[in-house]
Amino acid sequence: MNGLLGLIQNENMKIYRRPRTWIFAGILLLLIVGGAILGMKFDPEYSGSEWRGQVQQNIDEAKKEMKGDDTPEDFKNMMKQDIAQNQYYLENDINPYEKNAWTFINENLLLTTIVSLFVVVVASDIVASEFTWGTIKMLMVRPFSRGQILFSKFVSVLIFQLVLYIELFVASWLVGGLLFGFGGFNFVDHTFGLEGGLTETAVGETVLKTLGLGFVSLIVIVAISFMISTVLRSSSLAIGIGIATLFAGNAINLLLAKYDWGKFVLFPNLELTTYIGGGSPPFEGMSLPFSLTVDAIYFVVIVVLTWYIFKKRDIAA
Amino acid sequence: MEVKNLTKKLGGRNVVDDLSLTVQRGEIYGFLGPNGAGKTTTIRMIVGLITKTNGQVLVNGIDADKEYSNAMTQIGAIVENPEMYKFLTGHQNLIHFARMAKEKITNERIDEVVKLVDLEDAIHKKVKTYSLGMRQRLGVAQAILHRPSLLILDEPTNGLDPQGIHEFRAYLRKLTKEGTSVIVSSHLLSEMQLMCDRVAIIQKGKLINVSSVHEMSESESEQTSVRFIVSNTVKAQDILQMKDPELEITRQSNELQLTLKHSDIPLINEILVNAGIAVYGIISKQQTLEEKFLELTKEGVTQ
Ligand SMILES: Nc1ncnc2c1ncn2[C@@H]1O[C@H](COP(=O)(O)OP(=O)(O)OP(=O)(O)O)[C@@H](O)[C@H]1O
Ligand SMILES: [Mg+2]
Repeated sequence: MNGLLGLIQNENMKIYRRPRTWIFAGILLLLIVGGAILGMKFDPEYSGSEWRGQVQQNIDEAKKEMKGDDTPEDFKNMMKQDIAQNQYYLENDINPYEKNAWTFINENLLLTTIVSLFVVVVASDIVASEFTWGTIKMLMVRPFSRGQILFSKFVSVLIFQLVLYIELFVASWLVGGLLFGFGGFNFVDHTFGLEGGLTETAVGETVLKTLGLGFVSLIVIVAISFMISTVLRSSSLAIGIGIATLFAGNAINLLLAKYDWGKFVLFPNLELTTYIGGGSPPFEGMSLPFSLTVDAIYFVVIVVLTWYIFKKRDIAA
Repeated sequence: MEVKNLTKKLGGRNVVDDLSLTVQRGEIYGFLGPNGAGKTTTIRMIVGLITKTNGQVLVNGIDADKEYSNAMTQIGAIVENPEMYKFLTGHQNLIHFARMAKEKITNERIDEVVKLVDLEDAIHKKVKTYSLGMRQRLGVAQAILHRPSLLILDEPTNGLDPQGIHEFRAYLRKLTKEGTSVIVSSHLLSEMQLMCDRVAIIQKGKLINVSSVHEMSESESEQTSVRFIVSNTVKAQDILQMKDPELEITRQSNELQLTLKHSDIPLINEILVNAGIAVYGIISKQQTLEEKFLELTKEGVTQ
């Protein structure tokens, strides 16, 4: 007897038999390898004791830039902090230029944005495309409920998201490892706060936390794209709104900043990575568990709404 | 299958209006009606693509509203054009739909169906390279894959070549021999005549006539118009009118046009010959089903 597993298999077949999917995966790989090549050219690793000279040079340059009477106060503070930071490296014999597989992944975490973009495109398209192709009616006249069909599609998008996250992680780890040596999970990443405070975290831990929390907030964004794709049957609109959710977050957070209730809005709660390394949340009273709870509530509401609207809709495409 | 009081209200009017029908086991049932009559809308309601404003659909006694999944296991359908995934091959498309059946469908079964619809050569090509007729064949293949007891086909011969239509009729017959019931919609009467056992004529969402194809051809024989080409039209008319004053006769230069029963033709001929009139030809022009259909749908309008 065939069941939900068959449906999920089908959706996966439709995702991975499309050239677009492989172009996305290819671009991601290209960015990782390309990033490594550019990094080697413009951001050299100072081996041996070379790094000491480089750090000293940074200090000297910063001191030079601080002089001059018309330098703004803000800039002076920044330089001061920069100097303190470099001094700390010298005193404690820490090479900030050291590279390894994990520092390389850490640098590549920026690429999660690209991953989100690709996943949003697939999520936006997965229901709407069935309508544009006219295949939706072939899909619906089967012994499965509409809810089951939606479920299989949603699960398949999440699998695709997981695949790209794994690609980002594994490819970065491999490329970084081959170039700079594997290991380095416990390499200490020093984060200097604005007030001169210092946090030390193992870079591997930062990487895993960032990936994990990024994954969670992307699930909510995927649910939004998925809903628009299902309800409006338009992939372009769903892609647009999905991407806006990805990038407009910061702007919306600023707008909300003066209102108390802002912390109950979805967007501030999607910036989960701010909680890593003791960053301060955009609103008072927010914490990681708080944000995760708010996200979960929004997620459930979105999913139930999508299911409910789709269940009742006439399919006349 | 049984449909009771099916109604669909769209844009303020009943697109399908209180439609009831029963399809027997092993029967090919035709939905005939002009464009916009509501054939596709009826089919969409039967397969649950759109909600019913009113009515009930029973498939083998199973209420499709209450046990959707069980009802759909019995049904194979094409609604309007069979749209397939163009970036997949025909075979991959069939695998896709095979996975959506409740019973496991073996590879042998897929091969068997491919052979039946005569797509063996193209089945491993991408569907975007298919012609309309090939897509139609693939559509039929996915509809019969799970051996449904009710096959619903909306204008299935659209795009098929004469050879294809012929084969299509043959395998529909074969399926009905195995006990499958078929609903076929079309606005082409001649096609229905060749394919169906019974035809329902739908007009403006209403069922206006159900008759077996057999009946339709029978009834028309009553209204045959026959031309007799004879040597002396004036004399012939006099003789016939004398025998039967009721008979409708129109005289033309070298022929008489009569309206009579098909079975009376030999009798008339005999009378004429016995009276010494030479009969050069008898041309019986039957009222075609086409005309009958037009007549019926016209009645529907005035009703
Ligand atoms: N969403 C809608 N709103 C209002 N009227 C509609 C809607 N959808 C369909 N109709 C009307 O319903 C009627 C029946 O359409 P349907 O597609 O069932 O006809 P059909 O018998 O299949 O015709 P054809 O032979 O052209 O395929 C048409 O007159 C159409 O205008
Ligand atoms: Mg139609």
